[in-house]
Amino acid sequence: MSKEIIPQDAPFEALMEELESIVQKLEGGNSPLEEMVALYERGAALGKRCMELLDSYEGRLTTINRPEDQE
Amino acid sequence: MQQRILTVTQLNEYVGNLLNGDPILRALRVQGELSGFKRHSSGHMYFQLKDENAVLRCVMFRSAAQTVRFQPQDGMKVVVDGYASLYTKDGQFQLYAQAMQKDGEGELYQRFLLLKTKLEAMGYFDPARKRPIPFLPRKVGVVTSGTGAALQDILQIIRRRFPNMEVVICPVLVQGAGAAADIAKGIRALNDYGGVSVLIVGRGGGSMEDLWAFNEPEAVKAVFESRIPVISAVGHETDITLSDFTADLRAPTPSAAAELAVPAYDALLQRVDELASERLLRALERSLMVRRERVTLLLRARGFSAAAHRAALERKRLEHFVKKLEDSGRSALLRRRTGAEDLLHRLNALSPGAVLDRGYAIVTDGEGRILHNTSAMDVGMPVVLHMNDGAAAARVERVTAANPPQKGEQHEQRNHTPGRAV
Repeated sequence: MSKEIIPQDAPFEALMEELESIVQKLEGGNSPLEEMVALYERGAALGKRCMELLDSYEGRLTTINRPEDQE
Repeated sequence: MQQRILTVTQLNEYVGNLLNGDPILRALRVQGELSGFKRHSSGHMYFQLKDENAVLRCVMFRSAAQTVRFQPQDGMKVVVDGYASLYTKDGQFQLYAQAMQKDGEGELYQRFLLLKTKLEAMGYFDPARKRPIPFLPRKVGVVTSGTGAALQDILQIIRRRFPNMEVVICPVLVQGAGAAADIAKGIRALNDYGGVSVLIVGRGGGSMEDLWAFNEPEAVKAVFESRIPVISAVGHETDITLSDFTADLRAPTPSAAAELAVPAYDALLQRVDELASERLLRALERSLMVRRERVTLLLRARGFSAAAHRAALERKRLEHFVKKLEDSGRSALLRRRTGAEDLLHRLNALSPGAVLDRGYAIVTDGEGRILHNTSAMDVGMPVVLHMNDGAAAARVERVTAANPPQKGEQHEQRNHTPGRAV
């Protein structure tokens, strides 16, 4: 499970949803140790990706030409 | 034959009923100039309509008055829809207004209705076609006037909510000749730009004529055909254009469109941090804690030899986990990793396996009771030496009580293994 790669284009909300369900599962605390470690790793990777996504913006403000000017 | 005598009420009700039965008076459209306009605190509007020769008393009840999309003023030329009847209390003939438009907009409004019917039939407004607005856009595209207040409002809200959001603006004409074509080209240009995941299309408030470009089929078609979800923000709350009907989401104002397009960065960051850094780690720590207690319980409850073996196994698993933790620990999220490591160190310290690994042995008698010092030993007594990988049976050959007992105690304290001799 932890080896599953997070798709490069996975939307933020999907990552958050999965992270949320992992945290809930971990908090349930009933899984075997190996599974909990796998869950933790997957959760940490998801959280890391979320952070990367949030911080991948550079605040660029681009103005493209008025359509008339393009033709 | 005697003349029948009526009460005033009876007469007024009779006339009122006559008027109510008239098909023409039931659905009227009257043109005139506003005069004596008053808006009552109840929300009802009272006014007169007049022309050069006559005056007509009118009332517009609150529910209808709310649909009027301009501020009526005395002297304004308007067209009013409604029905006419007698107000039986004072015998006054009056018009009950149900809709009001500025004169001249009536024609525009008719065109609006016509276009609306046509585009609706083409499936433009189908709710099933509406796409969800992405939760976190890659880039926000804005199609509006480059000089209007709407653009400033939109940018300000985006910067406030998500300071580093990428924004691509295509400035266009939003009213007058060529505006509809301009809006359409702007929408297509942003569709082709790449990486734009949501569009805001709109302008600030104005008269129906000012907003007309957003009703023209050319502009509406571009909204309809946009591959990128569109949030429309044309005018104010009460202005509705066909672009609004066609867009995936309609915002009451340009500022509101920006709010809908972009999430709040701080709130998202906090949510991720709470989930990934706090709750995730805490849940894991708690489960490790439970396992540490289980190791301790094993040592107390069962035969020591089996317990030591289990503890060693458990410890191996935990060690494996520490390794994995460290492997995945390069993430900035693991700021609290040291906390987890501390916990694992303490857990290791409790585990007899860790002690055995350092080359020590635990000595028990034949029944598994731990021997703390030589006073419990006799020559020839069978003992068991528990090593890190198993146990050896042995026999005591000689007993020499050389070390003062308190030295052994210090030793135990240093290793945080009270009750277990080494």
